Amino acid sequence: MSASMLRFASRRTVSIYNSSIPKALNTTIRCIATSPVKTLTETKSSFPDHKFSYEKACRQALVDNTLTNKSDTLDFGAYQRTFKLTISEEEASKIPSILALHARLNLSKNYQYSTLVRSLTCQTADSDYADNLQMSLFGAHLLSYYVTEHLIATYPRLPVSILRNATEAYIGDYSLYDVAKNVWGIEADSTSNLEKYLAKEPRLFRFGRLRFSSHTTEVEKGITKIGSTSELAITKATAFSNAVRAIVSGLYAHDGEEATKEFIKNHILSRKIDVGKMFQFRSPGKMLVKLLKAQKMEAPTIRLISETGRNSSSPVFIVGCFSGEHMLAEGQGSSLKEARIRSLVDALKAFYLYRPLDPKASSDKDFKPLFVDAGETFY
Amino acid sequence: MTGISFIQQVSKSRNGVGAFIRPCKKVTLTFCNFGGSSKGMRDFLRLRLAKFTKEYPEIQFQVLQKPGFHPVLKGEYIGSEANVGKQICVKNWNIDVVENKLKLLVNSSGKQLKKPKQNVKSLNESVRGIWSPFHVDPAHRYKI
Repeated sequence: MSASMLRFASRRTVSIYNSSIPKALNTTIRCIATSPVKTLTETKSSFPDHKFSYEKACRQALVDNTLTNKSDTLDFGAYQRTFKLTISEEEASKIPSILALHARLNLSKNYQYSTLVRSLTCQTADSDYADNLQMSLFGAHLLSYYVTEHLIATYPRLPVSILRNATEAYIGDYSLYDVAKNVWGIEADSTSNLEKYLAKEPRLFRFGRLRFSSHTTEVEKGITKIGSTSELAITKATAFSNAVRAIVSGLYAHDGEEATKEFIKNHILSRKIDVGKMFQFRSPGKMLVKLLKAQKMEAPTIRLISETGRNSSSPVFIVGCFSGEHMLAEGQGSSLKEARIRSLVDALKAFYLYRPLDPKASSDKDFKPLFVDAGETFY
Repeated sequence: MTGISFIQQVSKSRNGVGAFIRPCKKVTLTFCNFGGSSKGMRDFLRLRLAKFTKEYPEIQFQVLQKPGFHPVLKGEYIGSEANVGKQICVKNWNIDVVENKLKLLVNSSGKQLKKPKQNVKSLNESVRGIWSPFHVDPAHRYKI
């Protein structure tokens, strides 16, 4: 990443609401910016290792000689990669697994078979065929945008770390690997050329499978050789995920934004995640005290509601977390301590997991900005 | 935010909630050109296969000649639990039976047929919650 791109990234502002909210509240919109002095004093550090695989996918670097250098680095449309070989549309329409995949995903007539073939080809050291690097990079951004937007609309109060974790649950490497392998039926090209020759498989058929350079090779059944010489070797999960991302970007190229959004909604956002189970609080009592203070509510009090078997081997305590006369949440446990913690955690979750009745994302046609609250202080 | 850490999770597929993807991805039909047990299969391949395959463009159909063997329908499926596949031998059956058996394969999920232990299998917890003795009206509470 060039220095100019780094500077652009540091001036990112975060504002969730658009300009149609009342002017009096305009002042509470948060801006995150880095100090202008920092860029002068800090040395350029290597890019941090991302916690989430979907972020890593959005930042794939091209280590290649095929990229033609342009003098104007900010003219993004002019970047081009040259490939020696491509699979033509006519050839691609002869591969049965490609035809089947196209029909299975219900892709339109505009979506070409050669695009699907390209989506299934990952960057390998010795291959001269067009690969899916750029497509998967763009597809990762598309997925990230629509999934994050959906989550923010559905859970407006979600803390940022949980929001990112939830996005990872939808479009991270393992999730998209499951989509590609166990839902869409994409196969990896794992047989050797000799085996293919013996099976009398036409040479074209291998392009209907996912091709990538792996860290491991299966020498025999049950014996895996670990270690690859290639710089471009990726894990199985990343390879399958990149295929999914590339297919999404192909859809954008052929059918436009609306079709892509519908596709992501049907295939990715229809999957099940449990956002409540993602939370892990270090000290929920302290957090709740701060939260209620910020919301200008009374400090939390914990009261025992009912109990049974206090002196037995299996007691049950039902405890409520109150703010004045209002009960925020209830917790049960086999000890008073456990019940208290559960009630505090439930009270916090009740705040953070608020969902509007009819969540509308900002890219929806009938979107009306919904004012939820002024936001939370970042600690 | 400090104090809140996350537990990583992977989303679970719900085939049919958004888009539906048929689990059957490949069907292999083997026949023998000479054997009498393959007569129904040969008739099917000649008369009905072309029309049948047009209804299921998402499935790959492969026809193999296997001389000296009984005709077999073999289905391959998408999914982690279902990679073994299903096979039905259609020896000495007529054309309609072959078609019906093929429909069985095509409409299957690929999983082994099992008697379910519970009537409902769901990823969502119960909407009304599990009954609790502590949340019963005090007038109706069990008195010892």
